[in-house]
Amino acid sequence: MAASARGVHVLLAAACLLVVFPMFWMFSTALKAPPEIFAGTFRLWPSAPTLQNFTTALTQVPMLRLFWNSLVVAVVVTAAQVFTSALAAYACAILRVPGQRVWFALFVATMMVPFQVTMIPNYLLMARLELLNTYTALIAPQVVTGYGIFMLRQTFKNLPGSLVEAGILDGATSWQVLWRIVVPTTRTALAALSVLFFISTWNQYLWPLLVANDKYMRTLPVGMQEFVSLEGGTNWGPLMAAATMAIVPALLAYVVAQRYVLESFVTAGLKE
Amino acid sequence: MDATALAAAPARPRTRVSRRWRAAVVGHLYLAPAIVLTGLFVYWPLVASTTLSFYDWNLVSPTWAAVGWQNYRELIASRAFWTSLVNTGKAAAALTVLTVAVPLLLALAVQRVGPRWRDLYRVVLFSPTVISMAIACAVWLWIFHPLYGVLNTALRVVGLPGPAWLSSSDSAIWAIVLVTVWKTFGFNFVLYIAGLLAIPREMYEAARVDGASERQLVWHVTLPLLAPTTLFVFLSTFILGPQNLFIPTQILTQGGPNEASNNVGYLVYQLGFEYFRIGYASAAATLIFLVFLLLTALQFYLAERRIHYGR
Repeated sequence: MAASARGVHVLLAAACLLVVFPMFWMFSTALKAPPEIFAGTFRLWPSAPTLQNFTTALTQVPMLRLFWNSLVVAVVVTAAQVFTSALAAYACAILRVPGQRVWFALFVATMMVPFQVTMIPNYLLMARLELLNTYTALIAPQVVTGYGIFMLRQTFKNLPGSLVEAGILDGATSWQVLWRIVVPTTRTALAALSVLFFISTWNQYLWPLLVANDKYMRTLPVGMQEFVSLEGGTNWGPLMAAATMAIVPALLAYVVAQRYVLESFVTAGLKE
Repeated sequence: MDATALAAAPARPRTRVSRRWRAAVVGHLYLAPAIVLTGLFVYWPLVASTTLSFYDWNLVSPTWAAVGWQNYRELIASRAFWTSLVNTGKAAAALTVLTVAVPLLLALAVQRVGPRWRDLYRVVLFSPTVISMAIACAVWLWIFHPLYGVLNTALRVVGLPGPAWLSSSDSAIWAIVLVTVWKTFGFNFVLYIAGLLAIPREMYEAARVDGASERQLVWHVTLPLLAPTTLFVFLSTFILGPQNLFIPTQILTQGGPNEASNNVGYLVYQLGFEYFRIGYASAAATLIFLVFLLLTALQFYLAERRIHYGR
């Protein structure tokens, strides 16, 4: 038993090493001076760590602006997704509006439409409305999610009916019941869903790549690619420095809130 | 609970009919944002995409030419389409096997260590899941670099030749699969841990009393009771996995060399936003949608069967 316990630790430690190594390598490269980056020899840690790549990255790409763009988009999209999902789920699960089954099926069916299928018409719509390179274009097509409606309907359905009835007896309107009873009682599920929406919006790449190519309107994952050049002239040092600056805050936030983030992923079930 | 009364409560309408009518109107106001937005950004594009697929248009020209089924005919005759389709199938199969098996193995391993170690391993192994795929791919691009990448410099130290991982048609697609697994396995991993924690301890104790060995416990208690989680993980990975291929393909290989690492999702992007053949790209998107629909129907069919006949 002791031997097999050791074997288990060896397996897990090896897996951790494989998972962490790319992030470690990013950081290590970011601290290397160009001659060492292109030495072609195997060296785990720079002989003379320097912040040179970080200053280059900061002067070539408006990092703070990219951060801000990502933050605005992620916050607004998350809030809007939770809001529209909660309204629709409330109508379907608690108000049981006539025809809700059909509407609900249509909302859930949107999960089965791959993004590549809708991206061309959505891009053309944004282009025609002259909204390219605006927050509106980055945000608008994603403020509704079939997945959110699906999850919240399940959550709302599990609420005890007596809770809502108490509200009606008090003479509350349906709007008041939603905000004073339903939302406060399900806040854990709403928060978990928000964490999921925030992380996936913060990390998304394809849609921002299409609609925001202005240097100052890009989001973080898109703006970083400026250092990548297909002709082989990629600026590896500054690229790794920019990647470090983009990833480290996210990782720190994750480590601080890890228990909560992990639970959110499990309770909110499916992804995206 | 009388939901109709709830929706209509504040107005106190006089007749039953007007009360119902009012409840329906109020209820639809709650549905309105979702109806309008899904209509505008999902259902209308679906129709528009199908319409566009019968035209020839280069994104800037003021004129569109109706070409009938020409785009579909060209697509079905093109090598790029079939290579992408086969590649997507290959990658989906590999992704499914790896992101079902690897997280399961790791979750079983984590179950055997103390809770403190378990939390530590869980935090570390899940970490790639929270970072951006696009940024992770930039890092992997550097790791795979043929001359200065850490993979090949390490191989050189032990005297092995370093292959051109991303520009060789043999390895490019597997490099993409590797990065995708690295980035996405953590989610399935935490699902498995949750599934394992949900298995009642008494089941293990009862089996131990019956003299079951550790190995027998895994095969006859853990795995059967974990089957619902495994099924969910399997189906969601098989359906959603291919969508995760887009970013690594765009950043690592652009589908190359010579379509060897292309997949259907990236092909649509390439045809539309690199070659500016909007109609042709829309035809590809429409065909992909149909394939996807078929797979989803299959998924529902399998899940239903499992629920009805599985136990």
